[in-house]
Amino acid sequence: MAVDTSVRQQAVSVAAEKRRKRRVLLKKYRILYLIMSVIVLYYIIFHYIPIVMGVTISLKDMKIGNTIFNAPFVGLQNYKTIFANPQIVGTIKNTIWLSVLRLVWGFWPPIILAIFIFDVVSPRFKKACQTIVYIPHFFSWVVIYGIVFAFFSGNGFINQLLKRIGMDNIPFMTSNAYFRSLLIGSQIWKGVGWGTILYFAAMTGINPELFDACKIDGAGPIRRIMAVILPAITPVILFNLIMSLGNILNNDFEQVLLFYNPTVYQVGDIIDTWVYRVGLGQRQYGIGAAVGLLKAVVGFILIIGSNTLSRRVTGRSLW
Amino acid sequence: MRKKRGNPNRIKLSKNDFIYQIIIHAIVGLVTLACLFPFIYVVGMSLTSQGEMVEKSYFVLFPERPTLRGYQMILRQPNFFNSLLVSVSRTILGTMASLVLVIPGGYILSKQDLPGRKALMMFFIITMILSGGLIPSYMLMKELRLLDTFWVYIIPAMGGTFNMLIIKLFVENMPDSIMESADLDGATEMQKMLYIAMPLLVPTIAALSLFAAVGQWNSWFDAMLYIQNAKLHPLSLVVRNLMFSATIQDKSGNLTMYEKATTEGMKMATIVLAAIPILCVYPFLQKYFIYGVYTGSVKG
Repeated sequence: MAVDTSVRQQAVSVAAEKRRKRRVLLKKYRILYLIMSVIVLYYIIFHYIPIVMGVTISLKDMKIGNTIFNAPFVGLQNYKTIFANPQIVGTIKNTIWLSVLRLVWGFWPPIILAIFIFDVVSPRFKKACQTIVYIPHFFSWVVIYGIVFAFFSGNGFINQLLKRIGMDNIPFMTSNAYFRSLLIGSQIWKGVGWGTILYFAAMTGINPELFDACKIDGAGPIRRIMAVILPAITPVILFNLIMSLGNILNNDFEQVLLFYNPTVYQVGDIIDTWVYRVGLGQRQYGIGAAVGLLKAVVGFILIIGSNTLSRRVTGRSLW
Repeated sequence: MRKKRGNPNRIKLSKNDFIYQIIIHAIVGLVTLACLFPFIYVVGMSLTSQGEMVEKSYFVLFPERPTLRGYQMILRQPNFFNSLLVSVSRTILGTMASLVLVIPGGYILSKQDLPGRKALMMFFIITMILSGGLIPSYMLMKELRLLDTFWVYIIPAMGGTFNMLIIKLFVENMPDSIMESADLDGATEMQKMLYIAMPLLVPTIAALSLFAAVGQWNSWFDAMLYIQNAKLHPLSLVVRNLMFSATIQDKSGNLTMYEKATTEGMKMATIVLAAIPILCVYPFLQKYFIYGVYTGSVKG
């Protein structure tokens, strides 16, 4: 009995001690809490209220004249409309297909470029190339669109070149056959340099003794890449691949919005552009919000899932 | 004997390595050229007169008779200077706004013994991966009466969760002894944040500011979404609209070749003008590329 009481007393005192410490900390940090409350308030207004609004609007009939407050609830009507509408289903397919293409064509060029730049022995050439290949990343899609227009429009550089060698004009920017390649190609052009940064960081972390060992063992360049460089950057590659899966519903919205036009809606219209053009533009707020929310929730699950997977597999994670 | 500066490897290359070096020099060189050439071409186009463009049927690598007419025409556009002013103001104010909440937020989250820290982290991280979407954001701005005001560029820029986590990471990496000695001197939490953490964060803040400034200068979609009033349009949106207005004119076929060539040169000139400020800050940005690595290494 006596032992039991003392244990209980001890537990009580530990809990009390914890509470006391907490109180001390709360007091010590009270000014920080005050600042934090302003930040939290900002986040509630600009990040959490839109989520609540999204849920509300998606459950309401937002006919013209109805506001978010007085529109009648219609249950899951808007969500049912999504899957009955072939146009929306088409945008979902386009979104995923574009992401798959981006993944398949876009993930390896930065890896190869990073290895090659890393291996270049002349330091000045290396520095100059590195400086230049990063630049396109910092230009807005508007500037990139202008450049793509200069090259691929009807009068553009490529078509003039084709004309010189006696080939027909190809309507790259208004053709279903070329539109996706144009999107993916310009994405790679814009991002390939910047994409090397993560791999560079991993490669500069390689122990130089390993390279010396390669030299002594007489390993050629390919052997060295396979035995030393690739193993060092594999976690980064895996991380990027896994996170791309999590982002499969996210395309470069601004890019598509600039590049696409009615002639290529069939292959180029993605979820985000549909929400903007039809949901917002034609005031189909209810369905638009439902599509947006569905995409956000599925994307949320995918990112949480891929982040967890990445943490298990590679030890890297977004947070 | 003196070795060649910075290049001790050259003499030691084996035959295989030599061939490999030639191949990668060629490939890296080609990629670099592929990144550079489009800009040179666009600059060349922007300096080409309408006459020369028609003469050579738009295939102009370097203009023979360079002209600044395209640039003159943009400068004469009534909304050009106005949009430049909007772009500059939003870049300056938006960059400052992007730091106001993020720096104290990151500092506070770095306090490991802060009661409720885990919950706060969750609160912020959720906003990085879940958003209400386009329509609710639009509705919110409408309800807050921010549509068609300049503040729609500034206020949403304040909540950069990712930057907050980077600040947190850098404060956590500061040596404990600094904060401990401040405690011994009886510094308050506020003093520790402002006079001890802030000066040490200057390089981080500089990096985040530069990236934020580039983002502000480049953004156009928020203006297209929230702003009807053309007087509040930033340069990037004006460039975008110009690109598209010309496309429509091309299709209608009402324009003569002469006029069409003019718009072509003018379009390229606006593209160059929108790109120049980025090129100007690029040397400074280069110092901070390493921050690109923090994508994917921010831990809670």
